[in-house]
Amino acid sequence: MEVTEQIDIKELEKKAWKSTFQDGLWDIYFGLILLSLGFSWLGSFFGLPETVDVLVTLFSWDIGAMVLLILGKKYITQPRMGFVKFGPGRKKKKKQLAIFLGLNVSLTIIALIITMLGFLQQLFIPGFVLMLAIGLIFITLPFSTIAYFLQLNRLYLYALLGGFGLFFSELLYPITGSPINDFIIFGGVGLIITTTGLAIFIKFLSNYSTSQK
Amino acid sequence: MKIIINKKVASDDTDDEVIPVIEIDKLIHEPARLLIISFLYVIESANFLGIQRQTKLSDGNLSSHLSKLESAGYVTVEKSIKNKKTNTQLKLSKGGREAFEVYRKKMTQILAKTEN
Repeated sequence: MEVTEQIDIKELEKKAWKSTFQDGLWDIYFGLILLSLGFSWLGSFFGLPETVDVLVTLFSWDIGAMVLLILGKKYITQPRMGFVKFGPGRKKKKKQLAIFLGLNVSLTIIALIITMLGFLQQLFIPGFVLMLAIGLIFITLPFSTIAYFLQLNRLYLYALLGGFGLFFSELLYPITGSPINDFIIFGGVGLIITTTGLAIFIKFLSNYSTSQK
Repeated sequence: MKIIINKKVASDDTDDEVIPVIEIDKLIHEPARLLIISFLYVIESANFLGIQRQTKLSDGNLSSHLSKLESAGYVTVEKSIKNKKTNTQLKLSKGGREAFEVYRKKMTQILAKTEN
């Protein structure tokens, strides 16, 4: 074992913090969120009215992803990595993130309803420009904020991929129509990110076994 | 510059530059314990496994060092039963935190002096 002569306290804390993300569960969570956008048409199979079917699919899928993340952290990561309670600085950041995400979810619901009721079509802005703006505001911004608070750099890439997804989906719309455009773009991006997360998760499981301690 | 090791003067200079190496807390200075204390210093608390994953020490080694730190009053240990399993939660005590801060300060002074 090597111990450096000078211990960088901040770096040590950051390293300990980052080690809690080597399970790939956040990657899987983000991947599933983006996948939900690609499968938002699933609700129509259950005979739900238009707009409601998309909302029900998105929220039930996203809640499922959130439950998976929480249970995974509790029953898979914690028994393998142990329990570490971080200091007041991290607690404050967590609280700030929770407030921000709460606000963002509320804004997203409002934006989704406004979009689906067709109010945005009255703005006479080209569709792909509008989708780019919506993607950057409602996908890239919250994802990047989570990446910033978690100090998990690869989430910035997911934030960009998700944000530009709406733009590319809109470009694809004249060729494929809806919902195939969303299915191709978000299904593809979501699948890539979920697969990356699963690969990290499998590596994590093989590196760390459960302990009785 | 003077560096006092076992009360012997290593070199000659003015008295105000004496570096008290002898005053370094040997309990903290041991590499494995230094690793444990440094980790506990930057967090609030952790269980046995959490410390083990971060320090990469073996079961026996970690237990032995934790016992020494606990005996010195640097680490507080709380045991509880969670899901029919013993959960050992460890925390750096106020004394342990202060001792580590003093250790860091002294080591920084010594390293700064030796660099000069």
